[in-house]
Amino acid sequence: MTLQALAGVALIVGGSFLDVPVAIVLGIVLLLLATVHWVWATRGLDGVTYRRRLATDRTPWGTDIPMTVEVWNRKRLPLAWLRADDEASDKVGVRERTMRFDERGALVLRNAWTLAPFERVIRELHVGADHRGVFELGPVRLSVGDLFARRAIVEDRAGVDRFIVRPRTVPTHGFERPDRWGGEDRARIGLTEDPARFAGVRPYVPGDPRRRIHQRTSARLNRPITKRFEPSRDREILLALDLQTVHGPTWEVAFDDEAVEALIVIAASIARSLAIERATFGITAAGYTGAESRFASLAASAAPGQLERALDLLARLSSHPSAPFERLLDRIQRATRPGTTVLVLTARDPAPFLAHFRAIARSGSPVVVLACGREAERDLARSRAAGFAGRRARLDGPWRTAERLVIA
Amino acid sequence: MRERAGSGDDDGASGTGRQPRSPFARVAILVPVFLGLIAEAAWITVIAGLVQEYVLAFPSIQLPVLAIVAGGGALTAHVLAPRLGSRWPAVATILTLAIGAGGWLFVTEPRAALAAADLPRALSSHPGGWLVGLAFLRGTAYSRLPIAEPRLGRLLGLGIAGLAVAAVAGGMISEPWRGRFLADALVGATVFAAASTLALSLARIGAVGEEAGFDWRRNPFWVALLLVLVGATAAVALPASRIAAPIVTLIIGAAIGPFILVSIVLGFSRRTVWILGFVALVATGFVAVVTLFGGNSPPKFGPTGALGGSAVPETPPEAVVGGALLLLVIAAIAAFILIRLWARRGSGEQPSVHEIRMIDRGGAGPPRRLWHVRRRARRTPGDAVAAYRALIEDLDRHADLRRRPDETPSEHAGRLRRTARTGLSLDLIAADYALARYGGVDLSPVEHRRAVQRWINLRRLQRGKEARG
Repeated sequence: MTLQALAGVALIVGGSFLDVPVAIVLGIVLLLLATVHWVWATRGLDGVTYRRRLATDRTPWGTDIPMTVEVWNRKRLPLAWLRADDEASDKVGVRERTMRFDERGALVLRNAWTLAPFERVIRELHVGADHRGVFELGPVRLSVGDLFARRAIVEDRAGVDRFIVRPRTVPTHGFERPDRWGGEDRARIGLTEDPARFAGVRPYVPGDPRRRIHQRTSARLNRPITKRFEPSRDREILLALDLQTVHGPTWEVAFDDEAVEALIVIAASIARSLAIERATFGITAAGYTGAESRFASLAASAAPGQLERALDLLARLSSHPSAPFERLLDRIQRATRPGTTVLVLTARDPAPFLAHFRAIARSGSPVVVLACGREAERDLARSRAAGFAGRRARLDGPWRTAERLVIA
Repeated sequence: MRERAGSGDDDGASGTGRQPRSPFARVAILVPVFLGLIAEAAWITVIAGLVQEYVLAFPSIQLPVLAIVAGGGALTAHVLAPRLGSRWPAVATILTLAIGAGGWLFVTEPRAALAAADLPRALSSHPGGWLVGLAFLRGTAYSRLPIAEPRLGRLLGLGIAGLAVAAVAGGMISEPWRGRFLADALVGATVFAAASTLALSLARIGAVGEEAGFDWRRNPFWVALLLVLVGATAAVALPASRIAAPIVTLIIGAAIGPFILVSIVLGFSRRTVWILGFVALVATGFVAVVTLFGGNSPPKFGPTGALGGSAVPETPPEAVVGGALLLLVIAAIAAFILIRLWARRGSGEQPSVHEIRMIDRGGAGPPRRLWHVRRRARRTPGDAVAAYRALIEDLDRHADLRRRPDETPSEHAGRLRRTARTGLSLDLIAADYALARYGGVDLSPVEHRRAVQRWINLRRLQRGKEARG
């Protein structure tokens, strides 16, 4: 029995003995309040269904996911109010609502309704996040008000919806894979041809190397004929992402979030560019993705859906490194197929990694450094001085507003 | 199924921006304020009556006057407070005192005493009138909209306690002032309870809806139920307050002896008995004091101090109650019509959150409470097949215990046994069922009785688990 009901009984009994009808009336009112509260506390959430549906579980950064929230009061008791606090991950946003902190200090999406008996309400909202990552909505805490709108009962209901916000991508300019021998794709400009792939002959034109003249055919036709070979380009590209933006111990939790996000946007944009070219590419990074491994890895592939997989991996990637970049490079050296071009995307000075680059190059995989830090020119000069090809990758603004990625 | 598309933010109170409230939304916000002002006037009426009773005079200022003054206070504060700024408290104090003095001089006695330059008699002749100033002061607290829910919560909580104390204190004075005070206090307390409860409910839903964009107009069914319940309680409480006293006294008087006896037999410790005895002694003493000094008031004095009945004609409490109920019913009907009107208009405003609302009773509704009553009253099954079916029906209410569509009786029983939900009994009943239902075996009467007994045991076990949660 609640304190309110006890007080009501005490007033009725006291009023009866003292012959004070006012006390009895007040006691009856208190008992009414207590009884109504008890009824709603025991029955308030009976038959109340709450469903949250996301139209999709993946979305690019900046695009919201349509979401419907449905409540159904499947009983005869009306609900003065029903409140649903959906626990939400940090940085989740709902276009139509302001996220707030509940009494437990958790960030929640708060919805409230007033429901008649058997009333069913479907509310349409749009959920998103201002950051790439994996986000959760749920579990939900339902609370209802009794007939006098006092909070009657609170219930936590399980059920978590997850969605991935993929990193932002921007058009990439100046990023063409170098033509080289041994590749699988046709060269863009046909200058780099693989002499192992004889493709036929064609009439000689001034400038053709003399050694390519097909002598027997030229003799037979009595005019110079040049051999033609299949051109080729890079076979596979592995994008090695250095998540650490400043030198120092890996375990230091402090990191420059904006710099990391810019790196991710660059990596995502390059992946998109490669996917558009139907290149075979993969991604690896020393970061957590929610899996058991400390290294995030997507094997090189040109299969359909590779870009989506790459973007999912980049979305899941932690902002802080899980291991030193040197260890990732060691791993690449051991696991990468010879001939794969390793595209190292880093915002740091590459000097400490040069030995690892050499080891990778020795194993048959050329290394190309994409410098994208504040000192990109200096970093690039150092890597070139060490004999590695290098390009500078630069967004034309902060990662949230940049319009293109320039690789020079 | 009725479907209605509309807005989750009829008043535009949520989302990215707050839109200006419509006139109907403003009225909706004002309703709890009006009710709160009536509640304030009601409790001040009771206190003013008590003060008047203690100077052996009848109350002269009634609830409607105080409600108007409180409303005036709210309006004055709403208009003047923003304009006067820091000067408002001083102005409000002066206004409160002036209005209190006006209430004091509302009747002729203090005015006559002042004219005769008899200030003590003037001050003591109509002290309850000063509480008109209190009504004004309390009204000023309602100047900001929407009204804060905690304020009304405190009003209800403290008001009920204060009115109970005032009623008990007022009951100690002799007649005829006692009777008049209690009659007025009964009406005042009823109005207070009804008005403050309604105001608090509407304010609470307003507070919840403020962030989600709805108010009490959205749910006419709830409002109607609330009005009916409050009205019915007010209607029942008044006659019940007269009937309850002898019944409660009789029941408690008759039950206390056997209760103590049973308690002692069932193992009250010596210490408990001592405590009970002490409490009984204190209660007896209290009742004796009240009976001696407050209960019996044989001499009845008129306003002149002479023995006899009151010269002032008393309004019969039944008439007051009847009138109040009539007004309440009229108000409820009017409110209901308005609510329906507002609810229709409310849904036509500019939406900012798309929402589909419908009344959907669904194909299979939740089990009714009466169903449970019928189920409990069900007869014991007569044979093994009926026992198994009854058990399956019982288990069907639990998602983890019910038989799945792809399970045979034996598999179902085995699954529950492996998860330690049941013992072997369910397997045996299931085997009986399978033999009788599918095997064409005629079970012996003994086996049928065993199956029914197993059903009883399993049902008891299941209920025990349900009770333990």
